[in-house]
Amino acid sequence: MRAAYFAFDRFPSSKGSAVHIGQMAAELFDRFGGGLLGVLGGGGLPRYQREGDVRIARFDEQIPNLIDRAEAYSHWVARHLAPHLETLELVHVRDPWSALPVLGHRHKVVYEVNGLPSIELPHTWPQAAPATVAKLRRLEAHCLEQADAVVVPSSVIGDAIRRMGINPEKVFLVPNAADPAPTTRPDGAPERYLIYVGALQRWQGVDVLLRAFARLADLTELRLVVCSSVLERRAKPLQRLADRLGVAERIVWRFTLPHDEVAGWLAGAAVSAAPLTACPRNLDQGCAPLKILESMAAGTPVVASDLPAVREILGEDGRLVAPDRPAELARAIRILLEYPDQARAMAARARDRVPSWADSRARLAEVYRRV
Amino acid sequence: MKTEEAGRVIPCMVSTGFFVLGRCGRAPVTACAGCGRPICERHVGPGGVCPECATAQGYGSAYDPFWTSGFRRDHYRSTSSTYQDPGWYGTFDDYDRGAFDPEDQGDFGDFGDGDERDFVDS
Amino acid sequence: MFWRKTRAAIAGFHPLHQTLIWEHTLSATLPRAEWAALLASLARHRGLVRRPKWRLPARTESLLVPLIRVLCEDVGGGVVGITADLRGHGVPGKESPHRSLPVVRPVRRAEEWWVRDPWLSVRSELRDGSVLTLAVTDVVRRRRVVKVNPRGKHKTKTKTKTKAVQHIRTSRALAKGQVPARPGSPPPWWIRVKVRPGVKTVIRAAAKVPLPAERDQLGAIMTVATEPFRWTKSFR
Repeated sequence: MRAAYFAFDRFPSSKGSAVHIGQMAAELFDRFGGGLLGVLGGGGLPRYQREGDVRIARFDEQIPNLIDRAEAYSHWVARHLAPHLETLELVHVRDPWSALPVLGHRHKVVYEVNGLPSIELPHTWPQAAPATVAKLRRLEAHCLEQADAVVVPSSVIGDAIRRMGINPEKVFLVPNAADPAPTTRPDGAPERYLIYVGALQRWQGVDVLLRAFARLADLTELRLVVCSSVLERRAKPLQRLADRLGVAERIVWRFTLPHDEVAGWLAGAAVSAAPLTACPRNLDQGCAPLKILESMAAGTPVVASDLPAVREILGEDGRLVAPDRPAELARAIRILLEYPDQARAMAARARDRVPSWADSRARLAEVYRRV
Repeated sequence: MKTEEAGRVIPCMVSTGFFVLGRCGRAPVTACAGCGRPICERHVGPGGVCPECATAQGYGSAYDPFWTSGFRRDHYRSTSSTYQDPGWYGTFDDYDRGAFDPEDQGDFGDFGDGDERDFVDS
Repeated sequence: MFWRKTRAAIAGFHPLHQTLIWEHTLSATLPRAEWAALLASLARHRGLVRRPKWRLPARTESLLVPLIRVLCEDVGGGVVGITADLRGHGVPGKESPHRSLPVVRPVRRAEEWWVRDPWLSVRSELRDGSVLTLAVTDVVRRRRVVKVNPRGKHKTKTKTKTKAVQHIRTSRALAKGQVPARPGSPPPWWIRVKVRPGVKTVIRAAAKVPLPAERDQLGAIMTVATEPFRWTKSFR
């Protein structure tokens, strides 16, 4: 076995990260003639699986505490790596928990950074103490320093990594991408709808979108479709908010849909919204939201928050609005709805600028060649 | 970082101990000028920083009162690779872990199934 | 020069500090605050004492001081006992009797003896109720060989060869009822671990290493001392 890919993330799943893992791992295993894919399991996924020359191993221990679980996962990675240390040439990882056990051997390590836990932590785990975050930051910096190459999906996150003092020569940009998918109009789709695709963390700004949608109450036939990549119980606070705003009946909720069904929903939408908030997670760390790329690939006009990471993807071919401003978001959506021809033209231009996964994979292959 | 949150004073958050890790927990007098965490009288270093920020710039002799903080970090780093024990590196103590227990979900509601929050959610 | 001022300065040092200077040994069981007083005294040594004869013995500042600092971090309300003999390998009483070895020409005479130097032993009551012990022994083999030169002239040359190892033994007796958990990865091959279950579980780790250079000894001792702590859950 010459290559391995480890991610502290469930695969496959309805989250954007799973699409990304699928593409990146495919490139790795194409290049090295198969290998080991180590990911998180659970939810009925098999613990061990063989797909051609790729072996998939899934960590599915039920450990309630997240740090305990992450550390147990690290040990699991070390155990799965040990038999192959003599032959491995390259290991690709996505997070510090995968990186720690793979560093310090003869194989090269490519560390792909889609997010920095030390920046996200205060958002996802508000009760984590600053001291804990500091420890995590050190851990992260150690892994980044030791890795042979660091791959980032956007230059905003690349800058964040350079600010941490990591040698800029080993930081490579491999942009996220989207491929146009053949689409069928989904069952139960309303006639005319806005769409939001993604998870429901606070920094996604779905609450801003709901407030904006409430301001479009005069467009009585308009619906909002929320394709959540997470389970329904996490939508409870947002559903309560929708109730309070009086828009609950006009919202269509879909949860953890498979990726190809989401493409159908995206293609049929009048406007796709990415109302990311202006929090440090989105500003400093940056992100490369697949939802925007996939909306662009589907030819759907995009309204998104004006953040550096978003501008990098969307350029002039989407409607950028100030983040956290429901009124401005509503106005931008209204303009797109009232001028559908211009909106479609803009979306067509956007579709042309979406990098395809083939381009991204070629850039990743170049990184593999260089290390 | 405020030393007071929701009317509750957050105690000094400096890690203590070497092998048996813990938190100081004394009443804070200020916030660290480096990382902002609350620190008590005993853990205020020159320049108003906590021991970990003080030693981040390189630590002196073993007589230096904050020396163990830097030495602890180096020790855990080197033994983590000697023992091939990735879990050892992080030096996460019970207090760190406490924030990540599923029953302590804050305003995120309860979701104890496979739908867990991760560190990074893209 | 009569070194009057230096003598007066030494008289003002902590009594244990003075013993270290005069006898190169240290033996005490003290609470944390008392150790801090000793360290404060040791810290003044370099500034006040210049005379080489009275400088602190080797391994004091490279090993003993850091070790005291580390142990005091974990001790809480308990006590730390340290017995250190820093006189080195050459002092009488540490050597075994010499024995002669069988020889062939050109060697005329060969003898061998061992030096056993149990120079450090520590017992520390930690704040989680467990008790840590640490023992370090240097074992040195010395050989003296007398040769005649190849042309049979009755010239003799004496050569001494030395081979030295360090035995590091640590144990940690857990508090009553504290349950150990096997760490996720085994220790490196050169560290042996034994766990004796009971009301108080005892975890022992031991290693025999080629005698490290003075500056590396602390690292070796700390690495072995780490193993017993990997067995308790919250400190993984």
